[in-house]
Amino acid sequence: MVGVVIATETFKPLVLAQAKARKVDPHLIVVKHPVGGLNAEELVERIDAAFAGFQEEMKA
Amino acid sequence: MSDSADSEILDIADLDQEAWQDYAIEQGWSDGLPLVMPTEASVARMVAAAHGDNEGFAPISPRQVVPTMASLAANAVMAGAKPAYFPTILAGLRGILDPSYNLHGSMATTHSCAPMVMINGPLRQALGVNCSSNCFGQGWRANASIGRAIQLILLNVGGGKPGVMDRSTQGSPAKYAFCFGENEEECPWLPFHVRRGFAPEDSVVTVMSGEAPHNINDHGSTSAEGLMTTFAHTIAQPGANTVYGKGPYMVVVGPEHAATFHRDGWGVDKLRDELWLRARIPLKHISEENLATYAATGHHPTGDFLTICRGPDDIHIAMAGGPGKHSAFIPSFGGTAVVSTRVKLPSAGG
Repeated sequence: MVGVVIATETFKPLVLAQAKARKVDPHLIVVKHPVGGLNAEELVERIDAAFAGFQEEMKA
Repeated sequence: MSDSADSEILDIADLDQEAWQDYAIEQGWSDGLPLVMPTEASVARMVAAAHGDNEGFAPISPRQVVPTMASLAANAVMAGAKPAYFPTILAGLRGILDPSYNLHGSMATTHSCAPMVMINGPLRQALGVNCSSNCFGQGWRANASIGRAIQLILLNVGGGKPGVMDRSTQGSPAKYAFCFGENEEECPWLPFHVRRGFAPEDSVVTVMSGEAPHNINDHGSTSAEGLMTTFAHTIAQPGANTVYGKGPYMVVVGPEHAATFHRDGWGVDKLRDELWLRARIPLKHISEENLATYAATGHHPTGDFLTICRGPDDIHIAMAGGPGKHSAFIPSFGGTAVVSTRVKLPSAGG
């Protein structure tokens, strides 16, 4: 089973730093910031990017 | 910064005050204010003040580094603390490292929470901790440097660098130092730590991941009932983190408000029960989008209201401050706990 972490580009450094502190190497999918506060139309791009990243991870 | 214990002693050239400050700030060790230079001698004096405290520490998030006593002492020195403050600083740190405090979450969050530190017991007076007028403010070395030392430990040992590992959207002045004492001498109720099961002669540090105090001004009400109306509606804020991240909050009652509550027969349990019933947010004050988001994460209204905690046990009442008709509400981060830890005083001969 493969787990992935979805983060926005703004919080990518935090995710990587915390992953390093916890000695894990997450499968990371990065989308544009922000995610919260978007309407449905604005959110489509983030969903598409996350889904594409997820598909890539599944192929790998 | 290396995690290696043998790199704790840095051999740096003799620096004057100005050069030291520049050097320390360049290293990222400062909260923005000048730091006291931690020499081997000053760190040793600080460590000696914790003589007999042999209990280990949990790893400090977010870096997950297990601290040495010398590394903690160095930060206490840099904060301007006296050695006598060190056992209190360590007690506060132990509370923060309790898993229920959720240090990791409270450091990484975008919320503005900071470690609130409240001191009870005889050490307040011995150390000169301000519990009265301006107790949340400036002017007292113990309040300022105990609170600051804990923050510097989280920065320099824990790695909570602002903007990197500490991702608070706006931060808070409370992140410099947030330490006060309960005004036990004027409190009409049992001291906070005694209500939590400690002995009156114990000195206890209570921590919570909280926002800076929100003022509750009520000069007009002359009854407990009137005061409660103001308290409840000040606390019921739709922008509180605990609307969806249910958790505790503190109410620090000022002595004149406390006297009114006490005169009308309201004790701590009555205050908590009434706040639980009345400090609720009317649904009309919350946007439909937020309501949908809260519902999707399992936070449903109670009748026509949303609560901001899970019950009376989440509401913590303390008493501090001086003359005047003001009290304070300290909201928490939400996924956290109020943790009280007894201060371990140096053993005899130490």
